[in-house]
Amino acid sequence: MTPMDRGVYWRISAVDNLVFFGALYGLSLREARARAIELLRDLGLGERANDWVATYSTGMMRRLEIARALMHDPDVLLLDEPTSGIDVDAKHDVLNFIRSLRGKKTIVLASHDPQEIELADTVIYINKRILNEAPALKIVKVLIRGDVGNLDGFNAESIGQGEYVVVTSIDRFNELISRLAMLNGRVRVVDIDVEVATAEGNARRMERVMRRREGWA
Amino acid sequence: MLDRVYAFVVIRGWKIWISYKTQVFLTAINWVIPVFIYFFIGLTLGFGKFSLIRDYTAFMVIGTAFQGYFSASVVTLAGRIRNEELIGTLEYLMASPLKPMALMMYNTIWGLVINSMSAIMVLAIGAGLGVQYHVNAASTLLFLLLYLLSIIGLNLIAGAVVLIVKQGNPVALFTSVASNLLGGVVFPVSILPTWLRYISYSLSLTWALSGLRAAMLNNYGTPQLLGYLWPLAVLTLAYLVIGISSVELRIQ
Repeated sequence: MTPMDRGVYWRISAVDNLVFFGALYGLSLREARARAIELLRDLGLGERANDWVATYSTGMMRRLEIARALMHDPDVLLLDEPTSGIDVDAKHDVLNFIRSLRGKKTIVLASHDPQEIELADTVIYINKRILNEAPALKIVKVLIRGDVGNLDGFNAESIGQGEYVVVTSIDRFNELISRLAMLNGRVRVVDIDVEVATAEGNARRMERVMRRREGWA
Repeated sequence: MLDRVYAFVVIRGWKIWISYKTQVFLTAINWVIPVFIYFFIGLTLGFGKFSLIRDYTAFMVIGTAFQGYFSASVVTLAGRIRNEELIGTLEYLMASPLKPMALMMYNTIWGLVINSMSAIMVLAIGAGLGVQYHVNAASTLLFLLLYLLSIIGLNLIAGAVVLIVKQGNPVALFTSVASNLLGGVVFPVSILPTWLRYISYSLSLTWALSGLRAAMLNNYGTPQLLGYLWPLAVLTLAYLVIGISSVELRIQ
């Protein structure tokens, strides 16, 4: 379990933190130390494993919290916004690590971040109650303005006034952004919208109907 | 179990404590200053020559050395729980497979360890000030064991109170004041007014100090100390029963 913004002990090292929490779960000190070092290495914290946690950035802290949750090798992992408040690189590392657990752990992840939702096999959209549950289908809509030129492999659909919408799957998002960057400032990205199309789209429609029916605030 | 003791005492207790170097320094000073204060008061007032206590320094050193367990151990556990709440690790500790009672016990051990360091330092200073120890190891250990068990009971009561009231630590405050005033730490309880003496008799500290003084300074064996031993045993049992019940009640 990694509750958002939950604490670790700041004035001891990451390894000591993990050994302590491992011991709570019945691991021997030797097992706990070996597991701690392995997890910290997998999460990119290997070189800082013996540093005080007080010297860690928020992103490193998030990774440490995930390592702590994995110390006793649970079957189910509960994550609450695991990349909240961290920089892009750290976010990338955390998401990749969570992705690497696919097929090994059942992960329940609470989030409103599209990149986190993108990891899911199934998305449950909740607003006071479960509104929809469906396999995740991730689509990115990028609104751009300017001289699009040749976006090889992507379809830029004009919506007038020099603006275009490029719709692509999220796994090609980085490729699209790189391609746009190569246009040397000839285009400007106005908006990026990530949709978990099936679940969220249906859920929003359902929510509107319910609001009308039940007089939601 | 030893691995968990190591985790609580060395990793979370010692390593965090030692990381605050100024605090360590000031805490050590706080341990020794009262010894010197009472020592000089004793010299000034001529205790030992004109009073009921033949060797006031020895009386005061034993009192000061072991009083710390009574007040500071309670503060340590209660403060620990409060601290875990603040930094956000309490939920994680409670969510672990460790039973809450075991969690409290492991937390208590660190309090006992740090107070043992304090006791050893005070006893050593006492030796430096001329106190002659004639220790009966068996009765000393027996009194110490019962005393520490009573402290665990008090710790559990304090922990339950902190879990209930969330803020402050009324039990710690009470034990700190009560132990100094009523425990026979630096003056004998026989000089207290009768009604206060009865309160004093309800503290395990009072009986433990009497027994430890006799065992450590006069080499008294257990048979000679039964008069102190049985009240201490009864109080220890009472503290433990109340402590365990309070924690379980709180957890439920």
